[in-house]
Amino acid sequence: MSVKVQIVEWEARGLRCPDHKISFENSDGGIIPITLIQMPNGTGKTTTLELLRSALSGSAVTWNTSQVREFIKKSDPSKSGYFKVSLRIDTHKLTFDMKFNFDEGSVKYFTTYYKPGYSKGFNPPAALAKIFHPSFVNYFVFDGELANQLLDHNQTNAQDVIEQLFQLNMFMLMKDRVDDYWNNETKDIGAREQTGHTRVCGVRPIRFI
Amino acid sequence: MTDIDPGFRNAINIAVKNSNQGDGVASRLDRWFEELLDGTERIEKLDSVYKRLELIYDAIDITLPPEN
Repeated sequence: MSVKVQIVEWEARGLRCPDHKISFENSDGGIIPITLIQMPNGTGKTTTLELLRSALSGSAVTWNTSQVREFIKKSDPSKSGYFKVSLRIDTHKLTFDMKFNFDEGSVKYFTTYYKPGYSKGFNPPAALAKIFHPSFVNYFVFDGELANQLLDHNQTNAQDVIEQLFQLNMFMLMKDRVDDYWNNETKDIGAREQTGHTRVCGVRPIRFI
Repeated sequence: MTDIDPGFRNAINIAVKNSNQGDGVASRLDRWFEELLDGTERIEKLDSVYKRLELIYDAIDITLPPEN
């Protein structure tokens, strides 16, 4: 099953980058396939990329006060800021809103998907949780420096993202959980004791290949 | 329900077969993996994961060699 994920637009207000709204929707409702955005140095390209990464991955929930306040607009500081990215998941609209509170030094997420109204928090559709995750988003919304790393055979970024995309990492996490469970259940049990055999249902760890 | 890549399903089936276990073990592992992929199950929720593993272990059969 394939799912088409497209960015429809994003909007920034009251943040370190200039207030702006960029839409990739054309007049007939389609999404423009390739868009090039040119901005002079120091006008917020990197900030916009950081905002996109955090909006698409939910990563700002882990930011501390200082990290949040790095997004205060230097020229015209305000108490709050706002970033919103809208996507199209096949034919359904998905939006992630980030509301910055610079007094508290916090960011709150709001999610809208499919139905009217929003839910508090970063709540991507469950089936797409692996996509809207820092370990995936950071390889697709990236600074120029990473482009070189992706082409460097000594770097493991490409392998990491393939493992994330194809859920190889989930396979390994399952193995770790099986091992944890087994070790926990058998830590006080002699391997050949009949009582131990009964207590752990007579099992041995399964080896994944 | 998220479809498992046939390569994963095959790997699970081979691993289970090589461990002399039945199809029930493979189907429970398949189901667990599917639910992790579609978000029904979360790998971080240990209580839920351990309950799932109890079900999987319940399906496992082992015959210990006689003790000398």
